[in-house]
Amino acid sequence: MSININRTVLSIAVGAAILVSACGESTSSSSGSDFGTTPTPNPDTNFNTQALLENITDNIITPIFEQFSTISAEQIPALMAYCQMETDAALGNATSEEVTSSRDQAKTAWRNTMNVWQQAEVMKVGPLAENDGLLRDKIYSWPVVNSCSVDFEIVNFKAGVVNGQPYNIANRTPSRRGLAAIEYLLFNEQLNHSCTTSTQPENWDNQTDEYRKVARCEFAVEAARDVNNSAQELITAWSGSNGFASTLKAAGSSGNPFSTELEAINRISDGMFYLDTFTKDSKLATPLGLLANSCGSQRCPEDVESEYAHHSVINIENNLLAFQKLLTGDAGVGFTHYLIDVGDQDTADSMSTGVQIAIDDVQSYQVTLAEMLVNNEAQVTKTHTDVKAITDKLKVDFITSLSLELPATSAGDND
Amino acid sequence: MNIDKRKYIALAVALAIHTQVNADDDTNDTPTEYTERVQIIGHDDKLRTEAGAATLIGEVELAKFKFDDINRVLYSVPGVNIREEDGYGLRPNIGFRGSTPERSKKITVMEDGVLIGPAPYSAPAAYYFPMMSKMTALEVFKGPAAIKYGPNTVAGALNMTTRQIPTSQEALIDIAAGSDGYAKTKGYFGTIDGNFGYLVEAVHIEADGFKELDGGGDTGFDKNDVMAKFQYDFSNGQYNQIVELKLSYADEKSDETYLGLTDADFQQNSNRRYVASQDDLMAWDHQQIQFTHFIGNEDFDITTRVYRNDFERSWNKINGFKDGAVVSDLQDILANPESDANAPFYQILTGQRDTEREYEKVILGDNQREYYSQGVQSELYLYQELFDVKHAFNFGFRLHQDQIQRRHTTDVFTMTSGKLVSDGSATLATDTNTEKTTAVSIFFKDTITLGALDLTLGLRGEFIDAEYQNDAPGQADDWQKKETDIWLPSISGFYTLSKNSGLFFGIHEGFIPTSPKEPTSVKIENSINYELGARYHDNNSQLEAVIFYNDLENLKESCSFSTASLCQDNTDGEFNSGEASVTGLELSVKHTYELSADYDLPISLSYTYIKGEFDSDFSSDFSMWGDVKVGDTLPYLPENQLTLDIGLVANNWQVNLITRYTSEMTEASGENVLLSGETTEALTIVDLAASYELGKMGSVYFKLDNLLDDQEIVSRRPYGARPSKPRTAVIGYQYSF
Repeated sequence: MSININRTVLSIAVGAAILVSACGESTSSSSGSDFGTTPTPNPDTNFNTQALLENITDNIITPIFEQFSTISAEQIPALMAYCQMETDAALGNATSEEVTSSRDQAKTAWRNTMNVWQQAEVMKVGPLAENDGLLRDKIYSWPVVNSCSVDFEIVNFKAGVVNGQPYNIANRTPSRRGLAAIEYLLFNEQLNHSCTTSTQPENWDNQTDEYRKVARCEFAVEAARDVNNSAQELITAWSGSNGFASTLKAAGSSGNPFSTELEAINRISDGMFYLDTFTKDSKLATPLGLLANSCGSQRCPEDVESEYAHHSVINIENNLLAFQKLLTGDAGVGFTHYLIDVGDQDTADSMSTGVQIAIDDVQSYQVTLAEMLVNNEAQVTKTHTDVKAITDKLKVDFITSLSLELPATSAGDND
Repeated sequence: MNIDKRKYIALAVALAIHTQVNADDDTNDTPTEYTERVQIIGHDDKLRTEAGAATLIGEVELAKFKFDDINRVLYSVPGVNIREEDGYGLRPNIGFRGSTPERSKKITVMEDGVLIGPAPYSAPAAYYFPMMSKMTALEVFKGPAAIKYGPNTVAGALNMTTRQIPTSQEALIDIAAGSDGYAKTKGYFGTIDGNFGYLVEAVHIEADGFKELDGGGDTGFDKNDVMAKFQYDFSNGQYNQIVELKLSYADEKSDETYLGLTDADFQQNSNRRYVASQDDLMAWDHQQIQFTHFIGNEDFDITTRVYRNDFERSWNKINGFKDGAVVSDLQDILANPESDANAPFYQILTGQRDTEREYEKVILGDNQREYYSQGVQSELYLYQELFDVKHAFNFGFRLHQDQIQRRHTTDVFTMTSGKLVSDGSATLATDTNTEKTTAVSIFFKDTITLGALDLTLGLRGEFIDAEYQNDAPGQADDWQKKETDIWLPSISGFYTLSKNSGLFFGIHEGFIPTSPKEPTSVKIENSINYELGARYHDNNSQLEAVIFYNDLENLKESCSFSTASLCQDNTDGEFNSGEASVTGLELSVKHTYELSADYDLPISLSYTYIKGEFDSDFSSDFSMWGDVKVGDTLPYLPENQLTLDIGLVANNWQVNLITRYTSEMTEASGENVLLSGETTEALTIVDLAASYELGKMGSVYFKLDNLLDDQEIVSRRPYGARPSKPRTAVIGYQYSF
């Protein structure tokens, strides 16, 4: 076959020219005002969102986290002192009164630590929210608590070995450590293990009372050290030039993961939904039987938060106090100021008033939550109603007025 | 539809070329038969001179094993990567050359040359897949061979061919029964009466399922497919001209689930199914109407198709547990069932424990969706000599529209004494939205014959108008309109060394569009693909070897319920990875030994080596990626795959044995996602098939799938370990008349 080379080259050249000229991709779009996940500020406001972020970060969250770091450190010597007293008592060198006194001081240290932590719970932002809340769970895993696992953990710690490896509490799952474990170790009077499963801590119930008391308090000290380590981890991740607090305050700047200040504010408001999911639903509605519980959706005192220390009411109070600080800004700029600025004075007022009513209500409790459930269920129902009034506003008016997004876990509830 | 200036130009060029068709040129070897336009790769018993890797599995091959599961068929094709899921191939996950196999969404899937996915542009996950049993041929195109079949051109295209109207009366009845309540009834009748011909074919397949649901219950499926074709031949001395109407209806009810097992439970009984999946059910129906017009002679031919597919499904299945103070994840529960946090949930899934807390309530989600896919497409073959050079032009355009309407809901249940019991709360609407795409596609190919070299220049244009609308109350302003235009060039060549052998090469640009809902920050998938190959063909032997390199500028993935439980909050949300590359070798060898005048020994071997890895560091929330470093392998990509098919064929009987080896696959590429470090097991499966002709009485056949009864974890997605199909025996009878 004869080929005219010039024409062949021409054919190829034309083809190649078509190819080269044709290359390229273009995409353009238009969208509605509600498209996308990044919240955009209400256009009718010039509110200083930076001031809000700075106040909440520097004057509310940071002091709580720092306070928790300090107070969790103070828990360690209190527990060590108690444990030393148990050891001495086992050797006949301390009286039962001395042990009780020392143990009470340790319990007070735990209560003080828990009081601060229950405020930090409502500030589940950044390091406490990352990795599905792993750091939060390591400090306090409730409602995932398992006293049987803690019983096993005492034995593991005592042996110094677990699964063929040297024991290290830092590698253990959250429900075997943290403040909930310490509560069980410190406040539980029953020395036998709590396991009802087929596998149980070997020979535990055969040990002497003294052995078991010392073993428990020694593990409590280890757990307290671990809680303080987690508190230090929280401070490191939160504070400093590269900490999450700085990231929040620099929201909207180049390279910041938050493209707008409102997006950063949305992370703080996500944390405030603790009041809905935990305080209202898990701490109140569940033991009331309004939601499923272990008693078959009936009144269930066994399902209150703090089963051993009976600290449930104070926990709720601290949740509300923290929420109030975030809402009102304490002495600085808070969400109520933002609400007022966007013209929603009603929501600002009703939420502020609602929180104060709920705080007053729980402060009036003279008995534990479990006892109140048995003796005066109506009072607990009222507390639930008070808290629900706040969270109903939070979910709708608050979110809508401030152009925020609901957290994913609250987007589909049936309230 | 808003078609911009470039699209008008493209359409104008298309129409101009159509009008230039004439019959003056004298060329040889020009296909003029309608059947050769329905099935794309020719059956000619000679060396194919098309550049680009293309594989045909014809009716004779398909009849050997009579597989209902397309996965089992495609294992024989080099360069195909598959993630098995339900064991029956009800919703296959097929990828080519390293593309993610998830719901076959990265390949172009066609039936009789027409896009067959429920909404190939708007929601490419192929939750509808045609019934394999009614197919008479399968074609796989990779490399530049795939450029004319869009929209997805990164990986390739799969075309399935249904039975054609016969040239004389043909009929067949096929009945079969087998293990696990398997039953198949299939029949067709077709004939020609003068210029009019028709075909009716129906298939019913059912099985009780091989999985064992705790507490009892079906785990199988029930599928039906009815197809009718009507054809009229208008051919005269000047043109062949045929019109054909195809009507099809299919439905399925399958007691399928996304819930798998813990690894420990899998080791105990790989076919176990937890009681929490007792209400899971997929139900769908699919209707198709397709009109085809063909006209041609030895100089040109034009095939035009008008099509409409409707697909409606309800996919009710366990999604997980209710969110609350504890947020659980099914994949995590099954990966770590003994942790204090997960143990109560695992006990509920298995019915050992009743629901006690609100967050322990079981969520069943019904993902109801309605799809349609419609369009008109036309393709021209024209053979001309320009500038003393022979040209074979191939030009096509398609105006396509598809839509998905999601009406997802969830309901809440308690696990009570091993039964799921509604908690009485109202059904909750979740995803309520519509995605719609109108797309104009054109392609142009010119094959220039320069002595021994056939050089093909190709160009594909995709012009996509996409719309997303949130249909939930109060969400009218949640919408997006997006336009994407792209031109995709290709160049390929085949150099004939002899009448039996040749070399080929190809370079083409690959593209996968984003869905209408995705913001423009999510980039299209874009690649440059290279291949170099050799082909040999003689009377008894065929060989094709291809090395390829896909250079992905940006890899795109999407989140679906079938990917991971985490995806439920981001259904069909898409992710970008950055650069990646896939390198591989595909080898296909066939030879038939003539043992004697009465016995043949056909052997075929297919081998694939693929290495796919990321070329950049990045962190992604996509559950198959995580924190990825350069060199991390792509998920669900076996490095080595080997299929060996050996037969013994006599005059009235044959026995065939097919052995498939698939090496382990990474389930997540990077660190810090749930399945980081996990791999599937390497798996060798042997299938046996035999048939015996009874003369006028028909034939009997016997099949033994998974002869060695070897079951391994083929995937830990969507939630937990899933097995391959166990040993299954089937005996059948066919009668033709």
